[in-house]
Amino acid sequence: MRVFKVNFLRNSLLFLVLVGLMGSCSPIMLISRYDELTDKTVNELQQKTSTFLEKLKDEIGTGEANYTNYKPFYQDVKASLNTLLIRANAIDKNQITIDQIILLKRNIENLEALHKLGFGSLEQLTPIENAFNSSYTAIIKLQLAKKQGESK
Amino acid sequence: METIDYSKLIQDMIAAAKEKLNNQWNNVKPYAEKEFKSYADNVKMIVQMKLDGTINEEQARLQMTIQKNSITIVLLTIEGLGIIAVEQAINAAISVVKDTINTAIGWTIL
Repeated sequence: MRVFKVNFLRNSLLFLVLVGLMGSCSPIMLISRYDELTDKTVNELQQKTSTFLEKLKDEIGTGEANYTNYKPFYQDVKASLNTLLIRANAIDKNQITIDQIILLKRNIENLEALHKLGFGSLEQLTPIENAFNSSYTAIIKLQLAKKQGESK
Repeated sequence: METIDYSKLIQDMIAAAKEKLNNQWNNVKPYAEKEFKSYADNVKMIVQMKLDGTINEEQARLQMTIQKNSITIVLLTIEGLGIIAVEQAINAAISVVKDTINTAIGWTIL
């Protein structure tokens, strides 16, 4: 009888520990969930940057390509990135996306600094375009992976 | 000026990423290799423009910073993909335990 009681208590304790470990049964979250607004905003920014670069390529070597004509683009994109950063900061376990947005904003500022110095030829835009394509693809790729991860 | 071995640069980047990612390397290998190659190509273009004198030092520095930030964004995504894979593995294991216990008990406790 005593052995039975000890075994019963031990098994009950083990069971309770196991239940405790499982918590509320919600899945473990190591990284933020997919955020539709982040995905949408990054896609919009990608579109704006792409349009900007295509227009600049057509105008390079003319006065139309001057920085002053493009100031509204930089203001608009930087404002969108600030808004996106505030949202990203409000999401739990979102540090990777936060860091990506900060780096993207810095690259817009670097692009602006280059534009102020002036673009002398089309070839100067090629590595910039490649870098922005890689950056946007990377951010969107992570968002989509989060989305796919949720459906599994 | 010392010449840059761009193939070695790509291989060194792959080796460093592979070491950090261990088992998850194979999942991100095609994407990482493509992006590392693109980074090396861009660096090569910038170095050439500086050597040709089509851009000055300040422009080269800004161009290089854009490349550095861009490849960091890519590496952050690779890190994130690894975290998602670990998260899925943990949740799959928990799900197995949950199913086993619920089945054994005969009702949904977990």
